[in-house]
Amino acid sequence: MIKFKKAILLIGSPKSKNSSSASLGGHLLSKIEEYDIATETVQLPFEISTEAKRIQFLEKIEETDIIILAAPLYVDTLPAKVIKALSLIAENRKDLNLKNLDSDKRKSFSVIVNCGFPEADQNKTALKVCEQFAQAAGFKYLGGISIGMGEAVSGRSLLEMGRMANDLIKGLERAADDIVRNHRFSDSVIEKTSKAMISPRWLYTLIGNFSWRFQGFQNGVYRKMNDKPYLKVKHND
Amino acid sequence: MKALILNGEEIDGLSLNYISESIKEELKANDFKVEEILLKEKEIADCLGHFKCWVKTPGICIIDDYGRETAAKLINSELVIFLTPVIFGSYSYQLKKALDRMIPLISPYFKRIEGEIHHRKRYSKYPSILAVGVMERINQVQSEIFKELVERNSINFHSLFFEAEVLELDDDFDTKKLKNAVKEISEKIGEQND
Repeated sequence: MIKFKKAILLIGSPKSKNSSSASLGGHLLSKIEEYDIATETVQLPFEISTEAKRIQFLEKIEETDIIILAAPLYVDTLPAKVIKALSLIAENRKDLNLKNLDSDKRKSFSVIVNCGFPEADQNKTALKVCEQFAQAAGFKYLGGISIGMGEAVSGRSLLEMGRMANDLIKGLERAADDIVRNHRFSDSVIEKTSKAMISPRWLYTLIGNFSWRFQGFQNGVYRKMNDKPYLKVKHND
Repeated sequence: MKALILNGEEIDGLSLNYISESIKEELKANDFKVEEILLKEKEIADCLGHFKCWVKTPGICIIDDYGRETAAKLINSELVIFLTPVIFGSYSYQLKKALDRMIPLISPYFKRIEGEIHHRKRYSKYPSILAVGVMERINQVQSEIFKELVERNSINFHSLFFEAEVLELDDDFDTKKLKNAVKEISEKIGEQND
Protein backbone atom coordinates (compact mmCIF):
# COMPACT_ATOMS: atom_id res chain seq x y z
CA MET A 1 0.00 0.00 0.00
CA ILE A 2 1.30 3.44 -0.87
CA LYS A 3 1.57 5.52 2.27
CA PHE A 4 3.24 8.74 1.11
CA LYS A 5 1.32 11.91 0.52
CA LYS A 6 3.68 14.67 -0.49
CA ALA A 7 6.93 14.95 -2.40
CA ILE A 8 9.16 17.98 -2.85
CA LEU A 9 11.75 18.51 -5.56
CA LEU A 10 14.65 20.76 -4.58
CA ILE A 11 16.36 22.13 -7.65
CA GLY A 12 19.94 23.03 -6.83
CA SER A 13 20.72 25.00 -9.97
CA PRO A 14 20.74 28.80 -9.86
CA LYS A 15 19.61 28.91 -13.51
CA SER A 16 16.01 29.90 -14.13
CA LYS A 17 16.11 28.52 -17.67
CA ASN A 18 18.06 25.80 -19.49
CA SER A 19 18.60 23.92 -16.25
CA SER A 20 19.43 20.24 -16.68
CA SER A 21 18.69 19.68 -12.99
CA ALA A 22 15.15 21.05 -13.49
CA SER A 23 14.59 18.78 -16.51
CA LEU A 24 15.88 15.64 -14.79
CA GLY A 25 14.22 16.27 -11.45
CA GLY A 26 11.02 17.42 -13.16
CA HIS A 27 10.77 14.20 -15.12
CA LEU A 28 11.26 12.10 -11.99
CA LEU A 29 8.67 14.15 -10.13
CA SER A 30 6.14 13.79 -12.96
CA LYS A 31 6.46 10.01 -12.64
CA ILE A 32 5.93 10.22 -8.87
CA GLU A 33 2.80 12.32 -9.50
CA GLU A 34 1.33 9.37 -11.41
CA TYR A 35 1.06 7.58 -8.06
CA ASP A 36 -1.37 10.27 -6.83
CA ILE A 37 1.23 11.95 -4.68
CA ALA A 38 1.06 15.71 -4.22
CA THR A 39 4.22 17.39 -5.47
CA GLU A 40 5.95 20.71 -5.19
CA THR A 41 9.07 22.07 -6.83
CA VAL A 42 11.33 24.74 -5.34
CA GLN A 43 14.54 26.30 -6.59
CA LEU A 44 16.93 26.21 -3.64
CA PRO A 45 19.05 29.30 -4.33
CA PHE A 46 15.93 31.52 -4.25
CA GLU A 47 14.16 29.57 -1.53
CA ILE A 48 16.65 30.53 1.20
CA SER A 49 17.48 34.08 0.16
CA THR A 50 15.82 35.77 3.17
CA GLU A 51 15.17 34.76 6.78
CA ALA A 52 11.40 34.68 6.19
CA LYS A 53 11.85 32.42 3.17
CA ARG A 54 14.22 30.15 5.09
CA ILE A 55 11.64 29.62 7.84
CA GLN A 56 8.96 28.86 5.26
CA PHE A 57 11.32 26.50 3.42
CA LEU A 58 12.14 24.53 6.57
CA GLU A 59 8.43 24.24 7.36
CA LYS A 60 7.83 22.85 3.88
CA ILE A 61 10.48 20.20 4.42
CA GLU A 62 8.87 19.14 7.70
CA GLU A 63 5.48 18.81 5.98
CA THR A 64 6.90 16.55 3.25
CA ASP A 65 7.39 12.79 3.13
CA ILE A 66 9.61 12.49 0.06
CA ILE A 67 12.51 14.85 -0.57
CA ILE A 68 14.38 14.79 -3.87
CA LEU A 69 17.37 16.94 -4.69
CA ALA A 70 18.36 17.54 -8.31
CA ALA A 71 21.61 19.48 -8.53
CA PRO A 72 24.48 20.20 -10.88
CA LEU A 73 28.06 19.31 -10.01
CA TYR A 74 30.06 22.45 -9.22
CA VAL A 75 33.78 22.03 -8.59
CA ASP A 76 33.45 18.32 -7.77
CA THR A 77 30.69 18.66 -5.17
CA LEU A 78 27.35 20.38 -4.63
CA PRO A 79 26.97 24.11 -5.42
CA ALA A 80 27.56 26.44 -2.47
CA LYS A 81 23.91 27.39 -2.04
CA VAL A 82 22.89 23.73 -1.94
CA ILE A 83 25.41 23.07 0.83
CA LYS A 84 23.91 26.01 2.70
CA ALA A 85 20.34 24.76 2.25
CA LEU A 86 21.22 21.23 3.34
CA SER A 87 23.07 22.62 6.38
CA LEU A 88 19.95 24.58 7.35
CA ILE A 89 17.80 21.46 7.09
CA ALA A 90 20.22 19.36 9.16
CA GLU A 91 20.59 22.12 11.76
CA ASN A 92 16.82 22.49 12.01
CA ARG A 93 16.43 18.75 12.64
CA LYS A 94 19.37 18.15 14.97
CA ASP A 95 17.27 18.22 18.14
CA LEU A 96 14.58 15.86 16.84
CA ASN A 97 14.82 12.57 18.62
CA LEU A 98 14.96 10.23 15.63
CA LYS A 99 17.38 7.66 16.96
CA ASN A 100 14.74 5.07 17.74
CA LEU A 101 12.56 5.83 14.75
CA ASP A 102 12.35 2.95 12.29
CA SER A 103 14.08 3.94 9.04
CA ASP A 104 10.91 3.17 7.06
CA LYS A 105 9.04 5.81 9.06
CA ARG A 106 11.55 8.54 8.31
CA LYS A 107 11.25 11.04 5.48
CA SER A 108 13.05 9.72 2.42
CA PHE A 109 15.81 11.56 0.60
CA SER A 110 17.13 10.79 -2.85
CA VAL A 111 19.29 12.75 -5.23
CA ILE A 112 20.14 13.30 -8.89
CA VAL A 113 23.50 14.93 -9.59
CA ASN A 114 24.44 15.82 -13.16
CA CYS A 115 27.74 17.03 -14.54
CA GLY A 116 28.91 18.39 -17.86
CA PHE A 117 31.65 15.79 -18.15
CA PRO A 118 30.91 12.64 -20.13
CA GLU A 119 31.63 10.37 -17.16
CA ALA A 120 28.74 10.03 -14.71
CA ASP A 121 31.25 8.69 -12.21
CA GLN A 122 32.64 12.20 -11.70
CA ASN A 123 29.60 12.87 -9.47
CA LYS A 124 30.56 10.17 -6.99
CA THR A 125 31.98 12.50 -4.32
CA ALA A 126 28.88 14.70 -4.42
CA LEU A 127 26.67 11.63 -3.95
CA LYS A 128 28.67 10.61 -0.89
CA VAL A 129 28.18 14.11 0.51
CA CYS A 130 24.43 13.76 -0.02
CA GLU A 131 24.35 10.46 1.84
CA GLN A 132 26.15 12.07 4.77
CA PHE A 133 23.61 14.88 4.76
CA ALA A 134 20.72 12.39 4.80
CA GLN A 135 22.25 10.71 7.81
CA ALA A 136 22.78 14.01 9.63
CA ALA A 137 19.20 15.11 8.93
CA GLY A 138 17.69 11.78 10.00
CA PHE A 139 16.31 10.97 6.54
CA LYS A 140 16.16 7.55 4.96
CA TYR A 141 18.61 7.68 2.04
CA LEU A 142 17.22 5.92 -1.00
CA GLY A 143 20.22 6.51 -3.22
CA GLY A 144 21.84 8.77 -5.75
CA ILE A 145 21.46 8.97 -9.52
CA SER A 146 24.59 10.11 -11.29
CA ILE A 147 24.29 11.61 -14.75
CA GLY A 148 27.08 12.61 -17.11
CA MET A 149 26.79 14.69 -20.29
CA GLY A 150 24.32 16.97 -18.49
CA GLU A 151 24.85 19.69 -21.10
CA ALA A 152 23.02 17.46 -23.59
CA VAL A 153 19.84 18.08 -21.58
CA SER A 154 20.14 21.84 -20.91
CA GLY A 155 16.55 22.48 -19.89
CA ARG A 156 14.91 20.32 -22.55
CA SER A 157 12.12 17.93 -21.71
CA LEU A 158 13.58 14.40 -21.71
CA LEU A 159 10.64 13.34 -23.88
CA GLU A 160 11.83 15.69 -26.62
CA MET A 161 15.35 14.30 -26.68
CA GLY A 162 14.62 11.22 -28.75
CA ARG A 163 16.50 7.97 -28.46
CA MET A 164 19.44 9.41 -26.55
CA ALA A 165 17.26 9.76 -23.43
CA ASN A 166 15.53 6.35 -23.63
CA ASP A 167 17.62 4.64 -20.95
CA LEU A 168 17.52 7.72 -18.74
CA ILE A 169 13.73 7.89 -18.95
CA LYS A 170 13.39 4.19 -18.11
CA GLY A 171 15.80 4.56 -15.19
CA LEU A 172 13.92 7.56 -13.79
CA GLU A 173 10.60 5.70 -14.10
CA ARG A 174 12.04 2.83 -12.05
CA ALA A 175 13.49 5.33 -9.58
CA ALA A 176 10.02 6.86 -9.12
CA ASP A 177 8.67 3.40 -8.35
CA ASP A 178 11.44 2.77 -5.80
CA ILE A 179 10.86 6.16 -4.17
CA VAL A 180 7.12 5.64 -3.85
CA ARG A 181 7.71 2.18 -2.35
CA ASN A 182 10.36 3.67 -0.05
CA HIS A 183 12.97 1.24 -1.39
CA ARG A 184 16.64 1.86 -1.93
CA PHE A 185 17.28 2.44 -5.67
CA SER A 186 17.54 -0.86 -7.50
CA ASP A 187 20.66 -1.70 -9.53
CA SER A 188 18.71 -1.21 -12.74
CA VAL A 189 18.02 2.44 -11.82
CA ILE A 190 21.74 3.09 -11.40
CA GLU A 191 22.63 1.12 -14.52
CA LYS A 192 20.07 2.83 -16.79
CA THR A 193 20.62 6.40 -15.59
CA SER A 194 24.42 6.30 -15.69
CA LYS A 195 24.58 5.21 -19.33
CA ALA A 196 26.18 7.72 -21.70
CA MET A 197 23.54 9.67 -23.64
CA ILE A 198 25.93 10.22 -26.55
CA SER A 199 28.24 7.50 -27.78
CA PRO A 200 31.13 7.39 -28.53
CA ARG A 201 32.29 9.70 -25.76
CA TRP A 202 34.62 11.69 -28.04
CA LEU A 203 31.59 12.83 -30.01
CA TYR A 204 30.21 14.57 -26.90
CA THR A 205 33.50 16.37 -26.26
CA LEU A 206 33.76 17.32 -29.93
CA ILE A 207 30.26 18.81 -29.87
CA GLY A 208 31.01 20.45 -26.50
CA ASN A 209 34.20 22.10 -27.74
CA PHE A 210 32.40 23.28 -30.88
CA SER A 211 29.57 24.68 -28.75
CA TRP A 212 31.99 26.75 -26.61
CA ARG A 213 33.64 28.14 -29.75
CA PHE A 214 30.29 28.93 -31.31
CA GLN A 215 29.07 30.77 -28.20
CA GLY A 216 32.34 32.72 -28.11
CA PHE A 217 31.89 33.60 -31.77
CA GLN A 218 28.29 34.72 -31.17
CA ASN A 219 29.47 36.97 -28.34
CA GLY A 220 32.30 38.43 -30.43
CA VAL A 221 35.04 36.99 -28.18
CA TYR A 222 36.12 33.99 -30.24
CA ARG A 223 39.73 35.20 -30.40
CA LYS A 224 39.80 35.92 -26.66
CA MET A 225 38.62 32.50 -25.49
CA ASN A 226 42.10 31.57 -24.20
CA ASP A 227 42.91 34.97 -22.63
CA LYS A 228 44.77 35.06 -19.32
CA PRO A 229 43.49 38.28 -17.74
CA TYR A 230 45.02 37.70 -14.31
CA LEU A 231 48.52 36.88 -15.36
CA LYS A 232 51.15 38.80 -13.35
CA VAL A 233 48.67 40.45 -10.97
CA LYS A 234 50.57 41.19 -7.76
CA HIS A 235 49.46 40.39 -4.19
CA ASN A 236 48.79 43.23 -1.81
CA ASP A 237 51.75 42.39 0.39
CA MET B 1 56.72 31.98 -3.02
CA LYS B 2 53.18 33.13 -2.34
CA ALA B 3 50.52 31.35 -0.34
CA LEU B 4 46.89 32.32 -0.13
CA ILE B 5 44.69 31.14 2.74
CA LEU B 6 41.00 30.98 1.92
CA ASN B 7 39.46 30.93 5.37
CA GLY B 8 35.98 29.46 5.03
CA GLU B 9 34.79 29.82 8.61
CA GLU B 10 31.07 30.34 8.80
CA ILE B 11 29.19 33.31 10.23
CA ASP B 12 28.35 32.20 13.80
CA GLY B 13 30.41 29.05 13.22
CA LEU B 14 33.63 27.66 14.68
CA SER B 15 36.45 30.18 14.77
CA LEU B 16 39.36 28.94 12.68
CA ASN B 17 41.61 31.83 13.64
CA TYR B 18 43.94 29.77 15.82
CA ILE B 19 44.48 27.23 13.05
CA SER B 20 44.96 29.95 10.49
CA GLU B 21 47.64 31.57 12.64
CA SER B 22 49.44 28.23 13.03
CA ILE B 23 49.38 27.69 9.26
CA LYS B 24 50.72 31.19 8.65
CA GLU B 25 53.55 30.70 11.11
CA GLU B 26 54.61 27.45 9.47
CA LEU B 27 54.31 28.84 5.96
CA LYS B 28 56.47 31.82 6.84
CA ALA B 29 59.06 29.45 8.28
CA ASN B 30 59.03 27.76 4.88
CA ASP B 31 59.72 30.99 2.94
CA PHE B 32 56.18 31.83 1.90
CA LYS B 33 54.67 35.29 1.76
CA VAL B 34 51.21 34.67 3.13
CA GLU B 35 47.89 36.39 2.54
CA GLU B 36 44.64 35.36 4.14
CA ILE B 37 41.12 36.09 2.95
CA LEU B 38 38.47 35.71 5.61
CA LEU B 39 35.75 34.94 3.11
CA LYS B 40 32.76 35.72 5.32
CA GLU B 41 33.90 39.34 5.49
CA LYS B 42 34.04 39.74 1.71
CA GLU B 43 31.32 40.40 -0.77
CA ILE B 44 31.35 37.30 -2.96
CA ALA B 45 28.12 36.37 -4.70
CA ASP B 46 27.13 32.83 -5.64
CA CYS B 47 28.06 31.56 -9.10
CA LEU B 48 25.17 31.99 -11.55
CA GLY B 49 26.09 28.89 -13.55
CA HIS B 50 25.80 30.58 -16.96
CA PHE B 51 29.41 30.04 -18.08
CA LYS B 52 29.55 33.68 -19.19
CA CYS B 53 33.09 33.73 -17.73
CA TRP B 54 34.01 31.34 -20.56
CA VAL B 55 31.97 32.60 -23.52
CA LYS B 56 31.30 36.31 -22.91
CA THR B 57 34.12 37.72 -20.78
CA PRO B 58 36.71 34.92 -21.14
CA GLY B 59 38.65 34.41 -17.93
CA ILE B 60 36.69 36.95 -15.86
CA CYS B 61 33.48 36.33 -13.92
CA ILE B 62 30.67 38.63 -15.04
CA ILE B 63 29.90 39.42 -11.39
CA ASP B 64 32.02 42.39 -10.38
CA ASP B 65 32.76 41.72 -6.71
CA TYR B 66 35.55 40.34 -4.53
CA GLY B 67 35.29 36.98 -6.31
CA ARG B 68 37.33 38.50 -9.16
CA GLU B 69 40.08 39.65 -6.83
CA THR B 70 40.13 36.26 -5.14
CA ALA B 71 40.60 34.56 -8.51
CA ALA B 72 43.44 36.95 -9.41
CA LYS B 73 45.21 36.31 -6.11
CA LEU B 74 44.73 32.56 -6.32
CA ILE B 75 46.19 32.09 -9.79
CA ASN B 76 49.24 34.13 -8.84
CA SER B 77 50.01 31.99 -5.79
CA GLU B 78 52.15 28.88 -5.56
CA LEU B 79 49.97 27.44 -2.81
CA VAL B 80 46.34 27.88 -1.85
CA ILE B 81 45.06 26.73 1.53
CA PHE B 82 41.42 25.73 1.87
CA LEU B 83 40.61 26.18 5.56
CA THR B 84 37.09 25.05 6.34
CA PRO B 85 34.75 23.27 8.67
CA VAL B 86 33.88 19.88 7.17
CA ILE B 87 30.22 19.89 6.17
CA PHE B 88 28.95 16.40 5.28
CA GLY B 89 32.47 15.69 3.95
CA SER B 90 32.43 18.81 1.80
CA TYR B 91 33.43 22.46 2.27
CA SER B 92 31.64 25.23 4.14
CA TYR B 93 29.25 27.50 2.25
CA GLN B 94 31.73 30.38 2.56
CA LEU B 95 34.62 28.45 1.00
CA LYS B 96 32.51 26.72 -1.63
CA LYS B 97 30.96 30.04 -2.70
CA ALA B 98 34.45 31.34 -3.45
CA LEU B 99 35.58 28.12 -5.19
CA ASP B 100 32.50 28.05 -7.43
CA ARG B 101 33.66 31.46 -8.67
CA MET B 102 37.12 30.17 -9.65
CA ILE B 103 36.07 28.45 -12.88
CA PRO B 104 37.10 31.46 -15.03
CA LEU B 105 40.65 30.31 -14.20
CA ILE B 106 40.27 27.20 -16.36
CA SER B 107 39.35 26.85 -20.01
CA PRO B 108 35.95 25.69 -21.24
CA TYR B 109 37.59 23.31 -23.69
CA PHE B 110 37.77 19.65 -22.83
CA LYS B 111 40.88 17.54 -22.42
CA ARG B 112 41.51 13.93 -21.43
CA ILE B 113 43.45 13.61 -18.17
CA GLU B 114 44.24 10.12 -16.87
CA GLY B 115 41.35 8.56 -18.74
CA GLU B 116 38.74 11.16 -17.76
CA ILE B 117 37.57 14.31 -19.49
CA HIS B 118 38.32 17.59 -17.72
CA HIS B 119 38.66 21.24 -18.69
CA ARG B 120 41.96 22.40 -20.12
CA LYS B 121 44.31 24.83 -18.42
CA ARG B 122 43.88 28.54 -19.10
CA TYR B 123 47.14 29.44 -17.35
CA SER B 124 50.44 27.61 -17.54
CA LYS B 125 50.75 27.21 -13.76
CA TYR B 126 48.23 26.62 -10.98
CA PRO B 127 48.72 26.63 -7.23
CA SER B 128 49.12 23.43 -5.26
CA ILE B 129 46.38 22.81 -2.69
CA LEU B 130 46.61 22.27 1.03
CA ALA B 131 43.15 21.60 2.46
CA VAL B 132 42.60 21.72 6.20
CA GLY B 133 39.21 20.50 7.32
CA VAL B 134 38.04 21.02 10.86
CA MET B 135 35.48 19.01 12.79
CA GLU B 136 34.27 19.26 16.38
CA ARG B 137 34.51 15.48 16.51
CA ILE B 138 36.25 13.42 13.84
CA ASN B 139 33.95 11.48 11.56
CA GLN B 140 36.08 8.98 9.65
CA VAL B 141 33.70 8.62 6.69
CA GLN B 142 33.40 12.37 6.20
CA SER B 143 37.18 12.77 6.57
CA GLU B 144 37.70 10.32 3.71
CA ILE B 145 35.11 12.10 1.53
CA PHE B 146 36.85 15.41 2.27
CA LYS B 147 40.21 14.03 1.16
CA GLU B 148 38.67 12.54 -1.97
CA LEU B 149 37.11 15.91 -2.78
CA VAL B 150 40.44 17.69 -2.44
CA GLU B 151 42.04 15.15 -4.75
CA ARG B 152 39.28 15.69 -7.33
CA ASN B 153 39.77 19.47 -7.05
CA SER B 154 43.50 19.07 -7.61
CA ILE B 155 42.75 17.36 -10.94
CA ASN B 156 40.25 19.95 -12.11
CA PHE B 157 42.39 22.90 -10.95
CA HIS B 158 45.55 21.36 -12.44
CA SER B 159 47.41 21.50 -9.13
CA LEU B 160 50.83 19.90 -9.11
CA PHE B 161 50.60 18.82 -5.47
CA PHE B 162 47.86 18.49 -2.89
CA GLU B 163 47.61 17.58 0.76
CA ALA B 164 44.48 17.20 2.88
CA GLU B 165 44.18 16.94 6.64
CA VAL B 166 41.13 16.80 8.87
CA LEU B 167 41.63 18.03 12.44
CA GLU B 168 39.54 17.87 15.55
CA LEU B 169 39.15 21.25 17.14
CA ASP B 170 39.24 20.72 20.86
CA ASP B 171 40.89 22.31 23.87
CA ASP B 172 44.04 20.24 23.42
CA PHE B 173 44.38 21.09 19.75
CA ASP B 174 47.72 19.74 18.63
CA THR B 175 49.37 21.71 15.85
CA LYS B 176 51.93 18.99 15.05
CA LYS B 177 49.84 17.24 12.39
CA LEU B 178 49.01 20.59 10.82
CA LYS B 179 52.61 21.77 10.79
CA ASN B 180 53.76 18.50 9.23
CA ALA B 181 51.21 18.88 6.43
CA VAL B 182 52.32 22.47 5.77
CA LYS B 183 55.97 21.45 5.83
CA GLU B 184 55.46 18.51 3.52
CA ILE B 185 53.69 20.44 0.77
CA SER B 186 56.02 23.44 1.19
CA GLU B 187 59.03 21.22 0.58
CA LYS B 188 57.48 19.71 -2.54
CA ILE B 189 56.70 23.17 -3.94
CA GLY B 190 60.15 24.42 -2.96
CA GLU B 191 61.87 21.55 -4.77
CA GLN B 192 59.74 22.18 -7.84
CA ASN B 193 60.71 25.85 -7.87
CA ASP B 194 64.43 25.19 -7.48
